[in-house]
Amino acid sequence: MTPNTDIIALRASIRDKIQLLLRMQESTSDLELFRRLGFQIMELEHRGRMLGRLEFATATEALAKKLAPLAASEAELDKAIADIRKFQTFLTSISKFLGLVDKVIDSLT
Amino acid sequence: MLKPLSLAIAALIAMLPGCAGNPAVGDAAGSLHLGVVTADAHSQALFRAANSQARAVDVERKLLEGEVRRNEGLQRLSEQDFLSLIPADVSGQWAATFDAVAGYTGALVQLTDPALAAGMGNALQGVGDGINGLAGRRVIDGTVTAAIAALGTAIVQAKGEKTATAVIRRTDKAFGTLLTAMADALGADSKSGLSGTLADSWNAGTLVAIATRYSSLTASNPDNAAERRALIQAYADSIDARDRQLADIAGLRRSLLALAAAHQSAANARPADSRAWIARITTTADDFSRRTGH
Repeated sequence: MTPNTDIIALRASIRDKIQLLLRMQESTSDLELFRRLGFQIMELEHRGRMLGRLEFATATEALAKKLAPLAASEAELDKAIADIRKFQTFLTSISKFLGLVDKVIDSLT
Repeated sequence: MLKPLSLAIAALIAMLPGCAGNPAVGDAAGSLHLGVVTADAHSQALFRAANSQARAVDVERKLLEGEVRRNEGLQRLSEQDFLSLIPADVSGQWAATFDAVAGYTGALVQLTDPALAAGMGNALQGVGDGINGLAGRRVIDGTVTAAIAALGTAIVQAKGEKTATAVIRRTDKAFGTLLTAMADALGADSKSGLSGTLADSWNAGTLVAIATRYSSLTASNPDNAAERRALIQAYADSIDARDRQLADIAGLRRSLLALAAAHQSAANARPADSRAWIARITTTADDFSRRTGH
């Protein structure tokens, strides 16, 4: 079992206990017992929530491993963009160079 | 009138998009990028709302604890009682995941952006003008220079679209796996994932707390109709709030799956389908934003 399946099983067990206590709450007419059961249900919910918190954190952490193919694709796209920009820069520098030579010729004639 | 060379170049340009690139891929890339950014903002707003709900239940639990354990010694408060359901580092990781996806879709947008190809055309035009300036006369005819610039633009556009299409197709499976894993973390129903945790916090937290307070009140002071009414109203309102929050989480889950479907449509050169999937994402996020102000 993965850590998350352990957590999921434990959370299911907590939910069962909550349902049991809710049924007990429904069947009692003793206010003090009703309140104590209510508190126990909320305590169980809190523990279940801490497990849910852990489950979500674990699932989120696992996302990082699934990002590698996207990072590789982004790098490939970035390289294609950089290649185009590099060639544009080269052409622009030629234009500037031609303009410079033009000015030199103008000053000599 | 165009020179024969210009005509030949114009014919080449006309042939380029069909044989080399996929002009619609830029459209699909733009839609995808919008969908990613929208779903990212939507998820962070939902996480804040989920944390608020959990915090409210923690306060109610401690209040009830003080009442039922009043004869059991000293009552204490601890930070452990108020841990965030989705801590800052986890929502940060989630945001970082979206950032990485947006980095990929943003690169697709840039590569297929007509402005990138137009830059190449301008650079070629500049070289032609430079040559003419240097010679002091028109060595290259203006129509030819313009045609070469247009050809350069078309070649770069087609090459960018072709590369983008190939990358989208190659990345599609990984993209789908990632977005499905994100959707799974949210939970498919009210018994799984974040959705299950939130459903429990309403059902076994908020509603139980209100029901317990109501029973205590009716036993101790049954004539206080105003307070009873307030608790009854709070109970009914909480049921509605629970249903809305669970629907919001389900909406985000559908948005993540819609993003995967939009990417798959782009991979299959169906930009209209991509746009339709992304429209669902923006509609869901807009609806949430309108209702909650987030």
